Amino acid sequence: MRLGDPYNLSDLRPRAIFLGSFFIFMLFLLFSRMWYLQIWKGEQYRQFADQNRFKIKRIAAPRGQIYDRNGNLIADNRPRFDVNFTRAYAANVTGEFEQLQKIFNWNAEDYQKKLDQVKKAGPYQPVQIARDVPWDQLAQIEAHSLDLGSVDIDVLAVRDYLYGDSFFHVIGYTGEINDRELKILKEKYPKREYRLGDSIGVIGVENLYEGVLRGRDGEEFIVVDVKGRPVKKSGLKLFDQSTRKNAEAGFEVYLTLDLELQLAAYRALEGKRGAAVAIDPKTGEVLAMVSRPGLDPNLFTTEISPGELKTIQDRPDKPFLDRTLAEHYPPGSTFKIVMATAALESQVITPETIINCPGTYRLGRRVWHDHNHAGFGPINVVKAIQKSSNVFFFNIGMMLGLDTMYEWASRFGLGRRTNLGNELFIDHGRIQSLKRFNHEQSGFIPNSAWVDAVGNTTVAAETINAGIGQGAFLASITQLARMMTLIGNEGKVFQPQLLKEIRDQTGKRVKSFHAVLENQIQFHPGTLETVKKGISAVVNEAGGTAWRARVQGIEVGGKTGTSQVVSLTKVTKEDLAKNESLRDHALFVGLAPLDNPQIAVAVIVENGESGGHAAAPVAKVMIENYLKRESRRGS
Amino acid sequence: MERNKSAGDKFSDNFDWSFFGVVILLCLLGLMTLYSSTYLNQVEIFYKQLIFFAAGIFIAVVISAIDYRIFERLAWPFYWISLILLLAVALFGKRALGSQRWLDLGFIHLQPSELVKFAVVLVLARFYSHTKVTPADGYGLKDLVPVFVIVLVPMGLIFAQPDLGTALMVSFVAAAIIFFCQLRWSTLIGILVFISVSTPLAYNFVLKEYQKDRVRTFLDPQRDPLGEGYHSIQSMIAVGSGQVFGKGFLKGTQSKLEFLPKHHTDFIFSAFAEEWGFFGAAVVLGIFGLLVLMGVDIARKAKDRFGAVLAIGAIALIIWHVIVNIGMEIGLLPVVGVALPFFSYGGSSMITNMLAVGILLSVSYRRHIF
Repeated sequence: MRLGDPYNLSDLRPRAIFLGSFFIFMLFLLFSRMWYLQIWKGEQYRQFADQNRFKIKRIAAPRGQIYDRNGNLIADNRPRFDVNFTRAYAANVTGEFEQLQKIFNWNAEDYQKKLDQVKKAGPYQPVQIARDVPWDQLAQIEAHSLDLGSVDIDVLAVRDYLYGDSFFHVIGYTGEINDRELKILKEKYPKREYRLGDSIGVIGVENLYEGVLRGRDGEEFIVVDVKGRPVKKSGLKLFDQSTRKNAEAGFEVYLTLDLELQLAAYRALEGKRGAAVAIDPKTGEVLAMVSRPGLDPNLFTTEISPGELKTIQDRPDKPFLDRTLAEHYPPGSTFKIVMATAALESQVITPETIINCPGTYRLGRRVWHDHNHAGFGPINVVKAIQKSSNVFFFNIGMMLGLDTMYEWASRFGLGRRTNLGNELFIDHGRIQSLKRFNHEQSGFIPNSAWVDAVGNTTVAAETINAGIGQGAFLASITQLARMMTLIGNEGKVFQPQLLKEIRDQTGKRVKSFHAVLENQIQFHPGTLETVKKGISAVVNEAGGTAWRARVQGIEVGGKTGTSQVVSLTKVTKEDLAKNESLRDHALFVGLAPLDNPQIAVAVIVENGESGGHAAAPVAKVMIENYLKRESRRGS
Repeated sequence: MERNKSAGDKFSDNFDWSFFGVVILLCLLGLMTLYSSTYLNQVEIFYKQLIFFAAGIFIAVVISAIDYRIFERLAWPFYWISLILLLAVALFGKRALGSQRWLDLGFIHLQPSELVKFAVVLVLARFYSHTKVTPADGYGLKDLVPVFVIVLVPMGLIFAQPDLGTALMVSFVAAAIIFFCQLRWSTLIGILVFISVSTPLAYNFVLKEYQKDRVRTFLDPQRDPLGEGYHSIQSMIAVGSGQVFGKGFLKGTQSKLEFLPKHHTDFIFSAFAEEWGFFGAAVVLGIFGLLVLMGVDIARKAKDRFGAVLAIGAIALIIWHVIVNIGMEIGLLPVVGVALPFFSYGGSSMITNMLAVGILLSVSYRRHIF
């Protein structure tokens, strides 16, 4: 192999120029890219840089508190401390986690799960590792803050419900907003600035009055460094400025509910499935609304896993169901109050009319029994109410006809939603957009048009069934309470009302709400006295079905009812003994004091069998609590 | 030594002052940027770099005074020493940020992979100038086997650290030299085909997950804006927000508030472009362009093949770093840890670059001498 001439560069020189040109061309590419970034897109990148250095810090607006009619606080706010971990700031992730482990005492599985979450996330993405941290743990984190460089504490205001599950359905609860709700709310309240992670009302008043309770978040523009930490002294004059827009708290909401009455009703329904509603007949104000079982709304402000939620949703006693509004039941014998009023008003009977009640009623081939198979003999309407004679009201039903009964049921507000809570949305006497409070059901009243439409029953059979509030008949407990206000207020029906007042955070009244007269019936003289005499006898006279609702010193009127779960012909006594869920629901509606009614109540105890046994005592507790307290206050 | 009298009497007469001046200018721009990047809270970095700068200049001047032909003899020993140091790193190196690149020598953290770049240039220059006559139609694959061995052994060691950036730099510099010394067209095409086939295979089977992430992120920085794409996006924001004339000296927000990561090392050019805008960036790119032209000119005018290859290798070493580093900072290339010559903070990088500058000065000086 021959050595080349080391001094002959003739072949290398052109390639040197080529290589030089190649490098110059590469530099030109860089130059073009600089032009693109700095001149073509420069403005846009300048904006990015400005966003980078100014962080908009949100100042969370507290949600408006919720009070009862007497100014007792029911739903308050409290700070919640969440702990976030940002991997990029950790000198040693495992080391910091071991430190955190000493504070939180996670089990091995949790520890690994949280560590994995942190490792999986982007280095600058904060990961929540603990939620709703108590004070003592918070203090420990502060104490070790030097070793925990990547740990940040988020403070946010969450709801604090002072009375646990006693107001669960009516007040509702707040939960974290989801994507779908976020979209809807952003359209509905564009100025409220909803964001992911916000708490919103999910059911009840929290949900219905979301727009009032939610405040407006404030903003602060602050200069931050890459860690999102405010730069106090950046050394650059241009950065050391900040502007601030204060948060506006949500409005305080005063409800018509009465705290003590609510708690009394709640305790009286302890261990039962059922509901109780109390309304002031003079104004339509709802004094109490209890549905059991409920849940502690504070559960949803801390941490609830999808699994736990599913378990609760699948519970057979349906704790999410609002039994005051979202469920409707056959009104049973409580409807006899409407029947008696209708008959007297239509003058098919007088207070003195005597109908013989032998214990059975025959129509063609079918026979209906009274609950007292021996029958009550010849009785008038007062006695018929007192004894709850079915045969008496079968006869009355046949005299009135199904469509007249329908008309009277409608006048008493049955078969349509009460539209509770909508007072907020009434503007100049018109409801702007009707909202359904807690999925309120309308109930159902059969009429002949319906019988024709369904075809599998006869008008006569439905007339008989409807006369005692059974068959296709359905009503909600709130409707039954409103039905009683009509008797108690001489034919005047006020729109049931839940909202009393709205105040701003300084306590200044923004808006108050007054009774809205919904309907007024001119009764013939004597009709109401007769009905009241009947419902008084139910409670106060020997042989009445609801002596358990008696309150000493106060004349209580009422009516029991049973709401059939399944048709009696289909079950045997053995079935009933074995299977509680087949037993009838116990109902009671009441009014007190009869000479000057101040409270109308409706109570249901599911599968409680007898209205007199199961439901009347609840009503008694409520009436006693409310009226004895009222009279004490008066004296 | 008689002949050189005619070209100039003193060292200073033949010394390539213009090339040296351009390098000093770049170093001063680099120091200025480094000061701006560090003066708020880590100004000691700036002072350290001043020392590296002084040491670098000293090394460049010393090398320039040495007859570069001595490297023909020193090439192999230098290569072996740097390979041994690379092995030492693998065995006793200091781990940082998931890779093992540094040797702690007590007073300095030495990064042998920087020296390897230089050693490869020396050995290749020796190989090409010394061994045999250049084949008429260029080097074929068989002729290049020793070259591949020379390049791939240190590359493999660096890649295993893992340091993808430096491994690629070694191969780029080698490629420039191989091309410069002519290669058969068929071989060139063969190599290009091989690379285009092996790259996807290497991506799937050789790259570590974090390296794959970088490639993926380069292809789509918005994929994970708080994760791997973060550096790239913040760097582009820094550059773009400089607009035409920049935000002014010491007024770059991206670097001062630390949105721009590593703004004193890998991302220093973004910090510069943020403060000086397109105007400043164009000036710096222009100066680097001037450096390329001068370097290539030195290679063309070299008196012997060894000097020419050495000069091309040295200028390629510098300019590849410039292209890859700036390309990465402005989102043209994936984020790989490659320093910007004369700008990025770091002693090893400064010394390698100044060795290259010294070689170029030496080659330039001796074109007048014999």
